[in-house]
This record gives sequence, C-alpha cells and structure tokens, in this order.
Amino acid sequence: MKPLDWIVLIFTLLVIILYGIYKSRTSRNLDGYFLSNRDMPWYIILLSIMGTQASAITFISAPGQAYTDGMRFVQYYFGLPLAAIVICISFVPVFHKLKVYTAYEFLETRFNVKTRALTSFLFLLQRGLSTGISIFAPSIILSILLDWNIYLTNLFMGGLLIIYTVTGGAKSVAYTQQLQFVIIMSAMLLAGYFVVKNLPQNIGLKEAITVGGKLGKFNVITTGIENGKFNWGDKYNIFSGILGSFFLMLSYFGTDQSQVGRYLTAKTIRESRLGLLLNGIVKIPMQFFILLLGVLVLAFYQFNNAPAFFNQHETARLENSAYKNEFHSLQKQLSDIDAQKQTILKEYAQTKSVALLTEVNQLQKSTESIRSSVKELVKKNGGKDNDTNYIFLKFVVDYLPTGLVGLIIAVIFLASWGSIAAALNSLASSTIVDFHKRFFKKIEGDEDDYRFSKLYTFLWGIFCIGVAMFVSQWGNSLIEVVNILGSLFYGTILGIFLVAFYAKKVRGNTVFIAAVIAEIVVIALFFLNEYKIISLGFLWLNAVGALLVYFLSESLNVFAKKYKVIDY
Amino acid sequence: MMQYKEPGEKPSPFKSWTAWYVFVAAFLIVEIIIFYFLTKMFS
Repeated sequence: MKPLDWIVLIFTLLVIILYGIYKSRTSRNLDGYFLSNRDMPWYIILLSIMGTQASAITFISAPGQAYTDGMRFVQYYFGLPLAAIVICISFVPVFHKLKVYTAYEFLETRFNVKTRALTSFLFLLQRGLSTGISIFAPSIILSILLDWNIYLTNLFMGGLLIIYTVTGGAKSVAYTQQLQFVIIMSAMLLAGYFVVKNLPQNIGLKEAITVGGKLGKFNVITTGIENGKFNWGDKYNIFSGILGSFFLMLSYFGTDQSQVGRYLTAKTIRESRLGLLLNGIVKIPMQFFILLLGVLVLAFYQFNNAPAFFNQHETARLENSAYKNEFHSLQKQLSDIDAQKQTILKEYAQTKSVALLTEVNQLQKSTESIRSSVKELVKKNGGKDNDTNYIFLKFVVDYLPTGLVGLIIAVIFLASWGSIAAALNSLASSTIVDFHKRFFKKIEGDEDDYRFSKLYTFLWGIFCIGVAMFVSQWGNSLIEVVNILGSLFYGTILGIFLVAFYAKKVRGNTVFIAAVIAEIVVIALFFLNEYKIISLGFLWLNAVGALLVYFLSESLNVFAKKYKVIDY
Repeated sequence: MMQYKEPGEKPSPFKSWTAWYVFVAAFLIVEIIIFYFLTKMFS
C-alpha cells in the first residue's frame, strides 16, 4: 500500500471510532445500553440490520464466488423477503408487546426456563464461534495480501471496535453501522466504476456482462435439476434459495439476538417492521451488485493476463519449492492462452460478434483446467488450494487507483466492525439477561446492570479475538463456513420459536426433548454429508431442524398426553 | 393475519400492513422473473 492508502485507511477507521464514542451517550441502564432506550427510527433500523448481516466476508468472498461459480449465489437470499414478512406478522408484535431484552426471554414466558436457557446457549455457542471466524476470515486475507502480521491484524480487526461498542452499547453500534454502510456502498460503487473503466476501449458494462455470461458466470437463476433429477446436494438453486434459505433467514432475523437486538431498539412496531421489510427489498439487489463485481472482474481478466493463482503467498512458496519448474510451465501455458483470448477479444471489441465468445469460452475451459493443475501443485506443496477469497482483493491491489485501495481495505474493517459490534452487543445482552440476571441475581440496580453489561461486552470481545487467533485453516470459501456453522443450530432454534408461536398446545418439556433430538439429527446429517454418505446441501439443514422440532413436538405432545410420560 | 398495532402507532405508508407484505412478496417475484430473463439473455 502507498502512503495515500495508509492515510485514507487510518483516517476512515479513526472517523468511525470517534463517531462511535461521540454517539455513545446513553442512559446507564439495560434499556439504554442494549436497546438504545427503544427510540430508533426505521432508517437506522434498516441500516443496522444490513450492517449486521453484511460482514467483511460478504464483500471479500462474494465477488470471488461469482468469479469461480457464477452469480447463482444470489439465490441464497431469496428466502429473506418471505422470512421478513413472517417475522413482521408473528415475531415483532410479540417481542414488542412483552418488552423483552432478548428473544429468548419470551421462551420462558411461553415454555420454561430450561428451554430459554438451551436456546440462548445454542445462540451463544454459534454466535461466539462465528464472530471469531468473522474476525479471523478477513484478517488472514489482509495479512497474506499486504504482508501484515496475522496476530496484529486480528487484534486491529476485533479490538478497535471494542472501544466504542463497550462505551456506547447498542446506540453506538447502530449509529456507526449507519456511517459504515454509507462508506462501504460508496467504495464498492467506486470499485465497480473502476472495473468498467479499466476495460479496453469499445467494451462497456453490457459487453463485459455478455463476456461473463458466455463464460457461464451470469447464471443468476438455476434449478438444481440435473438429468431430469433434482440434486439435493446442489448448494444454490432457486428451490434451496427460496425454501432452505427461508428457514435460515427466518431463524437468523427472527431468533438470532444479533438481529433481534437491532429491531428491538425501534421506537415502535412500525419502525421495526419498516426496517425489516425494506431490508427484504434492498438486500437482493445489493447482493446482485456485489456478485456482479465478480463477473466484471472475470471479464476484465479476459482482456488482461490473470494470475495463475490469486493467493500470492502460495505462489511465492511454489517458487521456492521442488514444483517450481512445473509451476513455470503451467504459467507459460496460461499466458499463451491469455494471448489467444486477447486476440479474439480485440476482434470482439471491434465487431461485437457474440459468436467469437464461443471460442473464448473454450479457451476459458483450458484456463480453468490449468488453474486446477496449479491448485493441485499448491496442495501438493502443503498449501491451501482455495483462492476464491483473494480474487477481488488481488484485483483491487493490482489495478485500482491509489487511495481507493486504502478505502477498500477500510471497507473490510468497517464491514467486519458492523457485524462484530452487533454480535458482541447481543452476546453480552444474552449472557446478562438470560443467564447472569436470571440465575445469579447478584446484580442490583441500574448502575450495576450497566457496569456488568460493559464488562460482558468486553469479555466477549476478548473471547472472539481469542477464537480468531486459534482458528486454523478452513476448506471452503469463508462465507460458506460461517453460513454452514449457522445452519447447524439455526433450524433447531427456529423450530422452538415456531412451536412457541404456532403450536399453542405444546408445553416446555416436550419442545425441549424435541429440540435436543432435532439437534442431534441435524449434526448427524451434517457429518453424513461431510463423509459423503448422503448428499444434502447445507441450506436444507435449516428446514430439517425447524420442521423436525415442530413435528416432533406435536407428536410427542400427543404421546405424552396419552401415556402421561412427561410432566406438565 | 394478525394486525397488532401499538397505541398511537402512526399509519404505515400503505393503508395496511397486508398491503406491505403483498408488495414485498410481489417485489421478490418480479426480481426472480427479471433475473430469469437476464440469465437467458446473457447465457
């Protein structure tokens, strides 16, 4: 990075921290600290919800995902608007009416303390771990790309935001998320502008999309049907996108305290609902745009030489290994193919004849085959063979103007901070409300509540940085790891809430047993899929978990009543 | 559909929340249709 990039980066981060501290004045009690005195307007709720969901991983991984797998990932968000509607109808009014601090408090009113504690525990477990990954994921990429120390990067990624999150609680989180989101979207739009600007003369946005489309990456809608049969193992298609993701989103927005905590800060039910519904409207186009960046970067690399592998740390290791000559030979083949592509594309730029792109597509298949061989070499050399997360940032560092590189790096910090801050706030609120105050009751008075809330926010911050420091390498694209982790628990948590809302006759002990069984089944299915015994895309785990809890609860309820085996 | 309203709650920009829900669902359907045609057009 050049000095101007450093100035932009440091200035942007300082602005956010100072703004967070400036906005930190709030009442010194639980209502003020965790719910910002319930006085937020809908547009802050909207930006806060979006800022919480979109982590750095969203911005780093998504363009790389589109580069390698196409745009079909956007289907993952199709369930969101439908989930938002259900939450607005059933969840929001109840949470507001009961004036709860956490979603899990409601479960004690409806069932019993055991069910509340189990659900809150599952939340703390998965949110604590995934927040650690949310710190580690962007840190490892930045540390490799910019040659920064991973431990210091982790510390900056997860540590600086603690200053304003601990000081100002939910109010600081919401206001900084608002500013962060404006900066992030402006920077991503600028990046999109420069990708198109860097394309050769006569090639604009439409031609770039045409090139990406002919290379099979503009596959926004896919059915998952192969040879007349639906492939249950296919991760992203319209069916898993609408059905599987509906359950995931319902669980995430309806039962995950990091999101529930955002819309509980709303002035009224109307403000909560507007924030949720507008998020349902704008999220898909936003994600479409971020994925489109990946297709545009792919189109850009058809006109310019693409790296054989985007993780330069691994290529540097190959250069110093026994595979050096093999690697050079593959690089030579790749640059020959690039030259052929560029000759054809020069003609395309003049004639706009789409038929020429068929030849480019053939050559791209050879490119992909060579890239696979390079990945094999990386693997043989003991390295990590997935470079999806490095694609967009490598492009940014190599081709974007000075200053904008610093801003994009700042975006990674800001996007991380937005979701991590909300997570820390929610982890602390669940710990204090669902466990500390519920079981230990040693806290007396508002001032004690306030002090303990700050302490738990700080401790969760330390815990998540600790997780980030110890997380080892992951096999999949990082965005998927976080989603998969969520899918292991979200289904069960959602199932408990669905029973609470819609199965009026089911009582606490029944749903508790059903939830434990469902969680075991979900984890078993996950491992069966991992060991290739069955084929099941992870999005389906949400539906399985939720439906299993619901139907097991209903069945057990009938059984328990008949034989009186469960104490009511 | 449950239409819970808080005392003194301001009316939503649409006449009822049901209209909002229909709008959001319709927006999703339109998006999917547009994406479908974009996929066909550029693939």
